[in-house]
Amino acid sequence: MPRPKYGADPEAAEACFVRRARDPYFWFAVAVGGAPLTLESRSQSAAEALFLEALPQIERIIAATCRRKGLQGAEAEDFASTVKLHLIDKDYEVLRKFRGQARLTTFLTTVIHNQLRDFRIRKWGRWRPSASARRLGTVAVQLETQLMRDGLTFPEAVGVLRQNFQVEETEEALEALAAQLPVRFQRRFTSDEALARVATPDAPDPVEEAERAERTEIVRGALAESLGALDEEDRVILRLRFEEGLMVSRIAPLLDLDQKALYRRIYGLLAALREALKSRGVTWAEAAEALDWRQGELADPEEKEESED
Amino acid sequence: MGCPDLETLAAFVDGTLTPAERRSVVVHLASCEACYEVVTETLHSEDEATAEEAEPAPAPVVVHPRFRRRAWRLVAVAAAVVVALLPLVLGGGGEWYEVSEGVVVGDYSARWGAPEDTFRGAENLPSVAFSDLRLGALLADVQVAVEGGEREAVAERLGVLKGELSESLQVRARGVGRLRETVEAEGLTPTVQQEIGALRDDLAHLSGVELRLGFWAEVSRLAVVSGDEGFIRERRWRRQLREFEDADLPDPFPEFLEGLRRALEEGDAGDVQSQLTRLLRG
Repeated sequence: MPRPKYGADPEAAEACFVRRARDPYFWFAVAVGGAPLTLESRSQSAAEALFLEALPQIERIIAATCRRKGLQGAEAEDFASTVKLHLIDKDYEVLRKFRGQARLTTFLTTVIHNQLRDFRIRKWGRWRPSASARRLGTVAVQLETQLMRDGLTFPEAVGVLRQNFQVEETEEALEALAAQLPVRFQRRFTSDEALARVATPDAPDPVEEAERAERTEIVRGALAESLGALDEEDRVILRLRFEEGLMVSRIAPLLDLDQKALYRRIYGLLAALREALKSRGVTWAEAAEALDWRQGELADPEEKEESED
Repeated sequence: MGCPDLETLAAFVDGTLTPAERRSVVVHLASCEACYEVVTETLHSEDEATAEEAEPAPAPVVVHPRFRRRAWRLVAVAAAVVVALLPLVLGGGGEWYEVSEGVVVGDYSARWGAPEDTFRGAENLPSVAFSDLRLGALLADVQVAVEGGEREAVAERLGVLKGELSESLQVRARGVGRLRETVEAEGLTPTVQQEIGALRDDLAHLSGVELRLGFWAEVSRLAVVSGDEGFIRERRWRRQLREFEDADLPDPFPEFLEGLRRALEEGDAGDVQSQLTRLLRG
């Protein structure tokens, strides 16, 4: 029984599935004269078989994604259908092109998240859960989705979370969670129509708002310049650490870096960033807020130096 | 430069890109929000899935004459059979080698037609010094059969495992025997799969790094035999091999690992397979 050897058949390198050996067409094609051993060149039966075998996995990833991203009910079903249709489309083209360079689970996850991005943009434009919400976890994302994207009042949002996502946190806990979200929302306890007839005492002062907007632009400009001066890998490291909240032990192997050296590198980057911002008249606190980075762990490098003295 | 394809992004998450490819992706992520989002969401999803699977296991059952049958029910973990990375407590830590989906599946003895192509555990490894290695390889064969849904193969291999344990771990051997009977009677139910995972963890707690080496070596050998070129070309072996090299294993393991590394660096699949077989057979 022929076994593909490394380097012997470059086309065979495209497909790394043992399952292909179960496909009778595979052996027929080899027997009649060494047809290329790729899924893409064969009938769709193997890709279809792979899809069917991977379907429980696909559905599990879709379900977990919907839960994390606050998709529910008809919306979640719509998304699930979209994903499956995408995988089936053009004779399972997505799966036929899978090279085996990545794990199948990871590959399916990237495909599904890519689909989710398109799905979300089609439905709601560029809105995306904030970095703070993503760091705070699934409940925070679900809460923010109801409050900001769908415009529910706080009690309504809590009701949806309880009923559709089986969230068990107390109302106080959810309020505390909401307070950590970057966009300050009005905790409305009545209908929009009723509010529209009343000037709310919490309405922001337009002058203050204008000043704040101007200051935000200055901060963002300074950040763009300062971050833009960093190496690409440094920028990605900082985002993964402080925007996504990934631990250094998680980032180091991802970028194939030594973990201890990475700690020192991050500290050095923060110190350099702080100096660059300071020279542009931007404080550290302003920068962290504008970036929506994880402030609790984003120690001011100067404070850290003082504490080490 | 356009966006890399999704599989390249997935390979970045899995750490299977070459250094040059990885650098290229990182540079791209610094300026492409779409790809950055896909990669970070994939990372978060994987971390969440890993966290859900790696529930803390109960304390391992100590071998004792009064060990009772029901204790097996207590030694259950939430680890799923399909692709779970479980940190070991003993032996300085480390990870199970992940059985790559789509590569290591099924009963190879039936598929490839020759018994020497499939490690059969005790039948092929005579040396007592390699007993933990043999156990690890056996566990790998069990897992391969479980993932392939091959009930008969699982039962058969549990039988081999029982024979292997009967001298030194009689109580566990009886437990494995009962597990085999359950597999034969009920098939590979989720409960049975959990108990198989618990068995692996239990043995891992009692054994040393040699058990993990045996597991990894057998899974790697099957990957090479199946033609998984990514295993060699993408250097998926790199991290695990380094860990074993650093583990201060007794003779003659270092010599075996040296030969294996040489073969892997040269990329000769035939030689890699020979070295792994040599390692497993002593």
